Amino acid sequence: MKLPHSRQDDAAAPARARRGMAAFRPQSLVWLALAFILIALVANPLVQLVSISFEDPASRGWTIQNYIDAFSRVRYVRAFGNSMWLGVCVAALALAFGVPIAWAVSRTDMPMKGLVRVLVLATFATPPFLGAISWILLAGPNAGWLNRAFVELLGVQAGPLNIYSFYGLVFIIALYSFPYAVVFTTAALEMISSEMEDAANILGASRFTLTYRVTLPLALPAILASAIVIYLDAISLISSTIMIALPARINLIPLQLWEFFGYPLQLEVAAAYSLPLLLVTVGLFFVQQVILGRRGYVTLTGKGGERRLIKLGAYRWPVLGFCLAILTLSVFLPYLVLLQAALAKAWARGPSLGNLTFDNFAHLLFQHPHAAQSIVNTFVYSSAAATFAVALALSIAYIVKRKLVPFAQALSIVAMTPIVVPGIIMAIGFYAAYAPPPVALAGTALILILAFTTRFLPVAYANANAAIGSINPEMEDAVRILGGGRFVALRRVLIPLLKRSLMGAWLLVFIISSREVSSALFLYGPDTRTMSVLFFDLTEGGRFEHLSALGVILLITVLFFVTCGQLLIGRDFMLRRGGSGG
Amino acid sequence: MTKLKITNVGRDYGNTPAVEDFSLDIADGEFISLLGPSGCGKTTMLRMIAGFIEPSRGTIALNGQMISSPSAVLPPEHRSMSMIFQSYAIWPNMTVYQNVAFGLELRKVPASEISRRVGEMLEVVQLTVQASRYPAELSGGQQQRVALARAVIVQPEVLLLDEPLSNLDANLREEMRLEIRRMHNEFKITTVYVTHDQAEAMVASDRIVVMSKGRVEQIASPREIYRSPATRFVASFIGRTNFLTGRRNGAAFEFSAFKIPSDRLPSASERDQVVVSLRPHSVGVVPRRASPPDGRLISIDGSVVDRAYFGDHWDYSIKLADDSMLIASVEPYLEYQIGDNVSLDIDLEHLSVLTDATT
Ligand SMILES: Nc1ncnc2c1ncn2[C@@H]1O[C@H](COP(=O)(O)OP(=O)(O)OP(=O)(O)O)[C@@H](O)[C@H]1O
Ligand SMILES: [Mg+2]
Repeated sequence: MKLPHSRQDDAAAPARARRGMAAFRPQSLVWLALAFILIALVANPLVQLVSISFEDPASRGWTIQNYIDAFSRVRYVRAFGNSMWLGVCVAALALAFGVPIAWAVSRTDMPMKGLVRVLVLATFATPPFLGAISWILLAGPNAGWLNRAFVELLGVQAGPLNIYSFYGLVFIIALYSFPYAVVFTTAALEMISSEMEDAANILGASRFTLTYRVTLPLALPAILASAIVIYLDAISLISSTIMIALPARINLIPLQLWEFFGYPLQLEVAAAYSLPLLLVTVGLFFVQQVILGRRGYVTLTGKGGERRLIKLGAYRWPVLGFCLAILTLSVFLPYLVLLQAALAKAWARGPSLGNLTFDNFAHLLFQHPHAAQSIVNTFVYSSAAATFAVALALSIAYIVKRKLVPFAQALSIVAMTPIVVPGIIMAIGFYAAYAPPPVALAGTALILILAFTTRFLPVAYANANAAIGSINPEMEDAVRILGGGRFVALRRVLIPLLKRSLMGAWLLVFIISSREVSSALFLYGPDTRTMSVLFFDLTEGGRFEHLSALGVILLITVLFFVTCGQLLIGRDFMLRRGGSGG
Repeated sequence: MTKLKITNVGRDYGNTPAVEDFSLDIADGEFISLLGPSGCGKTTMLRMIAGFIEPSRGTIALNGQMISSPSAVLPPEHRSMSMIFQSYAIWPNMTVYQNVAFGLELRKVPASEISRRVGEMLEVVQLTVQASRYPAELSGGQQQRVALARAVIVQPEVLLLDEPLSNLDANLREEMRLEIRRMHNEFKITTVYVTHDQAEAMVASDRIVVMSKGRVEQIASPREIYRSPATRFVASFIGRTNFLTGRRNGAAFEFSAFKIPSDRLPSASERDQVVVSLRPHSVGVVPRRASPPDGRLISIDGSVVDRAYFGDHWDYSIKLADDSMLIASVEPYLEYQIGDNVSLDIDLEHLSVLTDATT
């Protein structure tokens, strides 16, 4: 072989050189574009939220009247207190559910761990409002299945359970947020090596003393961190709250915001009312970061030293029994009653052949004025949001990781900011920023898509960042030195290598968007209902059979995509970085 | 003809310089090694040549055309260079064939010519059978050859290699070292090779640039680097050596236990004090002489205080008259006992005066 080409290339080199060196750096343009998008999606809604809370709705002048309106009535202030207490109760109960399961799964030789893991994932994937509707069927006063069972078995006058109560609500929320405790605690327990336990063992500590005195204290920071996440989730959760607390006449922050947001619309007061909640959230989030040693919980999943499993001996079965009991409450029983109701002519008549029908599904799909549309909407909005969020997250993560521009880090901080903003507050901010003219996006598909994108941007970003970090930059350098630009490197090498993880991130955002309630409920218009909005439409005066059928459709959709994710990305893909809806 | 002209290039990270005042003219077809310990700035310099990093100071020109300066850097994709990375950076999503063909595709070479040239190249690196395999299915050495083929096939202006052999085991490394040299002989591509392994640099290079802490210590041919190290660092980094300090006294330099007439050390003629490097292999050990030898040799008396047998040579630690120590390496059949009185024969041709050290 000879070298004809490189010699010919010489002639072209100078021309290329001049062109290349003089060229304006396109990176800065991309940076500007991304910064603009992030400001529009993340910063502007928050700024609008704050500024509108000080605005007089009539004169558009400056005022603090909104804050006076928001906090002058006892009812409003009590909602705050109720929510705080609710959060504490939920966090405590969720830890009681989740920590033992985490310990059993990660540190003991309990049988059937695989099943327990799958069921925890199923719990996590279940939208909380589906859990709520199922539990209304199970523990509603009088007609609830469990109450009827009590009457049947014990011969008492009336069943003792009433889901429409404060502690009913606590139970429902904890039942669907304990997976956070499992995820965090498992990650921490897997970092503790058996050597630390051995050290205590040699000093004569017994198996269970050991667990109490050594293992759990070591995992305590992670457990506290999960408690904070659960607490924050609980105080701003709107879905189960509407279904349970509204009929039970318990006032809570999300309900109060919902009321301000209803008719007549008091946007300014809602903004003022939501700011303390935002401060609580931001504050607790930083506490959590400090507790976790500023590492963030993603990094907790490393492997630290060798671990041996604790032999439970005869206790294996009670421990398994405990895990399965909780998961029966969160998965088996609810799914069972939901399916039964969805396929029943009248759910209270119980499962029998005569009571079996597909009419509920048919009604929803073919007769209901909004149902079919809302299913389509859900798919379209969730796909669009997932696509935007992943594309945006990928661009930002790439620029930050490759240090393409100065101050790239600022982009990543902004991209992660929505994680500290509760969904209802983000929705109010979006409404304040983009609903009124001149943008006038009120009730459009676009505002929903943008809100979903923003809300789940941190999930996409954390995934994209981890994915890019796993790829050696020399892979791209190799493209560039052979004559391909950055864009060629992205298209031919980086994207193909990231395909699987990006698909995983996309699915994750898609799934949590498809069950998102808070932003949807505050931002939808007559033609832009999603399945979760429809769900609440049906709750008011609808029939439980139809509601259940819609729930089954939603559940099947979610489980289908979760399964896709599992097959594509591997076990536990949803549990990697907390994505929850609700 | 100068292919690559590097003039006073420096690069800072924060306030600490990673490379300082690097100047080098590389001739067309020359094989240059950058040699130095970890962290001395080799990769930084190589990546500046490639265009991945802009210099903080100085300029780089290719064929007389400026390609890097603090104000403007021609991006790597417009430099017609190739690089082999420490991680190989073989693209796992492409087959061996696609990896090798990629550079030609980017250059819009017609398809028929691509397949011919890739076929030829795969033959050269003995990967014809593996053409349709993915990198994950190749051994480390085969991956390395893919990287080599991928870089060479585009017939680059300059080929850059960043410690390409450091991940291979000893045998394979030997083989690849020769392979790289063979490719260089066949294609005559101007090559800059980064390594911290002196043997690699010695075997392959026309010239070696020895670096330390971001500075160039010496630029010379492998033989010169070994025989006449310019600085204390070079002398100790390349092989083993003895350092001897001498002071001027009239027409001679007085070392601890012997004298050298100053006209015998022409490169030190201006100085009051010199440090010389003397390789252990350049010291002859003979039974104690009665009278000094003549000619180029000087002779020093000493006694053996320690010895080590390596099979192919003996190492003797010799104590000189003033109690200073010297290491000598001699043929395995020249055996002396500890305590033996010996004379050391030193050929002045093998003494090299260090330019940087005065003490
Ligand atoms: N991106 C960077 N930021 C800050 N300092 C850097 C950066 N890259 C390199 N350095 C510093 O510059 C110096 C030279 O690094 P370089 O990678 O060039 O060394 P090297 O000679 O290639 O070492 P090795 O043999 O270990 O690869 C080192 O001290 C390193 O810490
Ligand atoms: Mg290096």
